Amino acid sequence: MEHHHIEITEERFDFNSKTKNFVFMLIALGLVCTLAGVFMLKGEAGNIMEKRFWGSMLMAGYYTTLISLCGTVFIGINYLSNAGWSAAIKRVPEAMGQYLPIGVLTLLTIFFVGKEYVFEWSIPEVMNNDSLLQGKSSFLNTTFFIGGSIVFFGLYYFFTRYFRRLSIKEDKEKDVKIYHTNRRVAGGFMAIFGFTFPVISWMWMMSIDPHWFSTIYSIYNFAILWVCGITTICMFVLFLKGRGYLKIVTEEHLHDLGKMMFAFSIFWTYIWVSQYLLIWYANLPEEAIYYTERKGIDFGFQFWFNLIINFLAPLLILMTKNAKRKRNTLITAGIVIIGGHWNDLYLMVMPGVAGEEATIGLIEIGPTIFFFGIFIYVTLASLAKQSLIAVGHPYIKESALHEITP
Amino acid sequence: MYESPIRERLITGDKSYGQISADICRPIENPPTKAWWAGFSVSFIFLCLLVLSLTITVMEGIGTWGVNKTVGWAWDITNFVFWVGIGHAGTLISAILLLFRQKWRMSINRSAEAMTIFAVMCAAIFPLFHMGRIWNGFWNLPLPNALGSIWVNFNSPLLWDVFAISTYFTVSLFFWYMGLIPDIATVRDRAKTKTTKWFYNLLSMGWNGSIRTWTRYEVVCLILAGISTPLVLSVHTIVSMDFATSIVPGWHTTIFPPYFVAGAIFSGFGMVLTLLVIARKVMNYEDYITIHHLDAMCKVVMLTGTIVGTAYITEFFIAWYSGVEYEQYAFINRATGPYWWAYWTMMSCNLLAPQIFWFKKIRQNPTIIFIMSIIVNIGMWFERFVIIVTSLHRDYLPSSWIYYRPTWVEVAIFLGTMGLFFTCYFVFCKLMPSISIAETKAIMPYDQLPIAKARMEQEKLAHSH
Repeated sequence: MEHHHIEITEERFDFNSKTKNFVFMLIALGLVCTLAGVFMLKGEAGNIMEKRFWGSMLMAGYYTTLISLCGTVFIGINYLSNAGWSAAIKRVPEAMGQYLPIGVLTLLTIFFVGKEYVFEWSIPEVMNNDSLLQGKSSFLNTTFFIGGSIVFFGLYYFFTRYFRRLSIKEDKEKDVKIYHTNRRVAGGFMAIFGFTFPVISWMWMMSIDPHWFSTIYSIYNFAILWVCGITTICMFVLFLKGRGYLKIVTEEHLHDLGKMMFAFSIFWTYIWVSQYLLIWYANLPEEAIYYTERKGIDFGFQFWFNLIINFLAPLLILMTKNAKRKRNTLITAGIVIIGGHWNDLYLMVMPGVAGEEATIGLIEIGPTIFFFGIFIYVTLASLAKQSLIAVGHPYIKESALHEITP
Repeated sequence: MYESPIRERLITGDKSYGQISADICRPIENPPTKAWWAGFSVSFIFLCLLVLSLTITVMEGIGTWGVNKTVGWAWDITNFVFWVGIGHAGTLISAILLLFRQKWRMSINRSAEAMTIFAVMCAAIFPLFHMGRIWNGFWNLPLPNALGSIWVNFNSPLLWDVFAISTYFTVSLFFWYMGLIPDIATVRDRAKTKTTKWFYNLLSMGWNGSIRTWTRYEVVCLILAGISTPLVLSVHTIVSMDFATSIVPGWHTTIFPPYFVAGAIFSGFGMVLTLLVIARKVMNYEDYITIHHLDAMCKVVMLTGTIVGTAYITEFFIAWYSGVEYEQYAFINRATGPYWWAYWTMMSCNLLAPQIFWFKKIRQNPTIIFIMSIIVNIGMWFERFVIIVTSLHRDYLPSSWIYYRPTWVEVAIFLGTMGLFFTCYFVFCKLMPSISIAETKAIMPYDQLPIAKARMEQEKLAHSH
């Protein structure tokens, strides 16, 4: 009846050896940087090497896991909100979620081997001599930490697989019932995610400074997950488009992704200000210490730089309509946002772990390159396993003809 | 723009453009119905009650209220926050849902925006009158005055609130009125009598429907939408800071800003549902505000209710986790102290009750939706009451602990603001198109467009030959 014609065909991503080698190089580079950093610092007094090593491992592991998890959250939210525009790119977030089990495994390994350098509450002598920490011991203990992580991440991974399995099935059977099943399941996933993700952020990040607390902290972590995840989706889409894939993805879709990168950078800033302003204003010692440490001589520059790179830079780069539709500006903004939130996570982890001994060297940068390398490998490998275009999705035509009305 | 066939139709009943104008203008053009008179009269009686109770407050003083030295803020601020919150659905629908291209907003934005304006008017009454000397109300503004060193305190979130709320009111009013102009012109063009023509002509500001007027209209709307987007967040963020910047246990908690915003949207949608479930029936708007519109709104209610619930649980957990005994006591006292009933009303209305919206059958049942919307209103009123009163009534000095009870004057003021709100709403429904005519026409399903119908005719002819 309607006069719209567009060809929607399956596409296969070829994860060729050239790309593979590039990713392997990235992983190797990360490994070399990390090892070089370890050797340079080895044997220094006060366990400096161990603290910096495990701190940066946790940062990198947590960062990649968040981004990976965002893939599934993106899918879930798009199902629930009945979104049509994103159908053309949905294979990207689906693939990103496939890294989750590796992410959790690395996080748990970091915990098993390096916990005493990162989480001071895990050292029995510290715990036993601190009445405040003892009050929290029913939450801050190894059993809950490991059990909780396995159960929560296990659930997230279950949903990741479920959404993807049905979505691939939908490509073959073209049955709208499958879509509705996924929508219903997405409701369950989002509810579970909403109630459990805060716990994960308290366990893995907030307990690094075990005396400090802030109720908005989980939303702050969510803001990082969401803005960095969407940026990563955009980067993968640009990469695939650069290779000539995703033919139905146009400037219109990039515009939408750019808008989200822009908007949620501002959302992150909103949460940042809410936390900072309230703690600064009330100036209660037990809360303000968190910022006193970060605004001091050791982290002061990075602390204020954080606002510039995560708020001001995306705001200015992505402000205009054209900027959101152009490859180069989007890539610039993407590098700024991913790099900026690395700095953000550095400020969440390092002051509590290494204190005044923290600096940025090879040992901090190496693990991030290493984990990002693995993350990129897993994502690309799983993108290559099925069609890049979800041809059976009921909104795929709508997405292919997507146009932003002015 | 192409739309997937599995999407729900936003306008049902196979309407033509002319029918849309006629349907929406009908309540304005026909004499008021009995239902309208009944609703208006009841509201007006409550409005008189507002005048009476405010007069008593001003004549006698704040002593007529139940507040005292321990609970210095109670009923007044509870209602202030309640009403400001109600207003949030309007801006969310007109700004955020616009950005997210939610087309179903088109037939509900007008009444929701009107609600915003009336709700902010109701809200403004409380801070003004709680000062006691209403004639000094202008001291809120940073105006140079002849009173020596009296000057507003820029460090106080209460002053930020003055700016936030007044900006919010101004922008919402302009946005609402801008949107109304083309529709007022439609009403003008359809008017039968000279007086109505004159009246709507005056209000339509010379709208002539030319390309030029439409272009300018669209630019202004876009700018206003841009300005309102941060306002959705900023207003209730600053309201929450009235409490959260303090060091009162139960008030000082960093989650307050986003949690208040979510709560405001929750309560706002509660009120939109209360009004629209009735209005669509009484005014015969069921083809424009369809069951799928209600369904979508119920989903927003469930989502925001659950976010608010997560915030309650987070606060409780962090109070325990913090190890601060005052913080812990504040929350234990909320749940088990003298005001336990208020706390559990809040919990069950805001977190538990909206969970029934997981079921599609319930999301599409107007009766249950209406009852639920009332429950949401009650729950959100109690949320503010719990936050304010239970955090104050037992302060650091047990000898000054007290159980706050409102006086009849306070209750009357609250009921009176309800009267003001509904009176304004009834007048609005009678005078203005309560669904946006122009925007609704823009989302006509493709196969109902004249051009599509003409094309179908052509195709039929081509086949028959």
